[in-house]
Amino acid sequence: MKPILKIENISKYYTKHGTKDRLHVLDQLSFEINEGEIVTLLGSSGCGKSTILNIIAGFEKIEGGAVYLKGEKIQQPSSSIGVVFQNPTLFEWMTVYENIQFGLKYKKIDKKTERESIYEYINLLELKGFENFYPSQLSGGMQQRVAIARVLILSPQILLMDEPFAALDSFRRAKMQLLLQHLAIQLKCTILFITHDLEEAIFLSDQIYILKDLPTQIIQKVNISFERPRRYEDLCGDLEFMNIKSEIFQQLRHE
Amino acid sequence: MIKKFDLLGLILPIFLVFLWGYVTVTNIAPSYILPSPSKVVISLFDFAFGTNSSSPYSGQMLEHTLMSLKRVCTGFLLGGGLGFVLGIASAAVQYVNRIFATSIHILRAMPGIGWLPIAMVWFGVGEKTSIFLIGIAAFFPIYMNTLQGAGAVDPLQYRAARMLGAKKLQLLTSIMIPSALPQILVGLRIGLSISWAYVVLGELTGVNKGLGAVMMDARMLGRLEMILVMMVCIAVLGRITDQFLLLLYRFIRPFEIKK
Ligand SMILES: Nc1ncnc2c1ncn2[C@@H]1O[C@H](COP(=O)(O)OP(=O)(O)O)[C@@H](O)[C@H]1O
Ligand SMILES: [Mg+2]
Repeated sequence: MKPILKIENISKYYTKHGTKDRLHVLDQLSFEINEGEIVTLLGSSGCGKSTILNIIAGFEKIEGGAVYLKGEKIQQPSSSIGVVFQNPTLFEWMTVYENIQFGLKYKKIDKKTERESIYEYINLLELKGFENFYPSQLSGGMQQRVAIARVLILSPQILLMDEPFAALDSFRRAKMQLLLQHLAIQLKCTILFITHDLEEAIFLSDQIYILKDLPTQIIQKVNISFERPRRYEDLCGDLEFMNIKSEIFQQLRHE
Repeated sequence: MIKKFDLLGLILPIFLVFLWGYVTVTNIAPSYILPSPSKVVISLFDFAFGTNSSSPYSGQMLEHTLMSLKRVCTGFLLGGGLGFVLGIASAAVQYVNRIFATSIHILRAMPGIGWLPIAMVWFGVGEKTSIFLIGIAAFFPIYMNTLQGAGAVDPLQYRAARMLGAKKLQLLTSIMIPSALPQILVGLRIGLSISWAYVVLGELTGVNKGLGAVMMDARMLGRLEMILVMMVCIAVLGRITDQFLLLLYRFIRPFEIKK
């Protein structure tokens, strides 16, 4: 497997507003993501996960190092790096259909293909019948599915997801995790996933990178090799699943 | 949006109309101070439909209304348009804001009416002065609200749009303006209502046609009821144009009433 995304020695400071205090968030952090893998950054809140994601997305400047997508340095946001935020961040004045269409407007494709493609993703994300609804009329889980649809439709080379299901109740979250796994298999996505939920991380990931507090370091890489498609009902009683869980808990306790 | 009509609220206006009728019929208020309600209603009908051909104002409503409406629209579009463009430009480009904000705040300290004498010097009495005053009146609320609305857009919205492929100018048209629209509407409504106030002011200074001109004319001829008729016309027109704005907005933003 070849790495599709390379993070090389990135450093990041935040300056506190109006002061000279600098918060050293990242210090020469490096890691890689292989094509087709789901990699999860696992860490408690405030440990710099979103900062890493925002840098990869091209939203945040860095003080040192570089991020390469397929060998090309990332300078600014682009549709080849899709982002799903913790809040759906949909465009409230657009319907579900128009939200999903948003990024396609900037690509040159004919109307018919566009329409077919939009309906394909409406079906994939189980949004059928809601295409003319406005975001405010949808549940949180549905809004997040629209947010996923509008990026996946652009076939990004990598999908970044920042605690996308954190706001959902545990049943909806489990459903979304299943759906995401299904999409990842079907569309062969590469995903960088962020969570502070251990079970979510184990269920979804091929690799888990466990992060330590500021300045953020990767303290352990855990390889998860359960076959896909995975099912919670199988994993929950699985000895290896429980072993991984307890190992990671121990690791976090020593932190 | 539409509240249930409260019958209790009707009591006071009905009472006031009766009181008005009473004081005019009993001559407590003589007709050169306050014309009777019936006279006002009859004059209104005559003004609208020309039922009494002996009056100089008979059947002239459409002509004067259109004249005033034209002035309001012209001034509102010029002043409001400038306010909108400058508001958006200021929200989008920090430098534009820094260059204009101070000057605009200084100018805003001057109440709109204060522009009247100098406007008369610059533009003479009549058409141009009216439009200038209306433009000034419409500019400030629309500029302020556009700037405020466009400046308050959640930065995450821009991030979302950028990662979906939108570039600089596209962010303006596809995110900033639509997000700011509710606040812009507030500015438009305030601007429009002040525009109606200022068209009267402008027309009072001596133009031939327009509701304000009729008002002034009626005052000189001692036709008090016509002054009241004009007041009614202006209020109704202001209300109609405001509703038109709301309707337009609901057409663009259908979901806000669906909720
Ligand atoms: N824009 C910012 N300005 C200053 N400090 C920030 C900013 N964003 C995040 N931080 C700080 O950086 C640290 C890491 O934040 P973040 O990356 O959001 O963590 P996480 O996503 O893991 O919860 C936190 O201590 C946070 O307070
Ligand atoms: Mg975060």
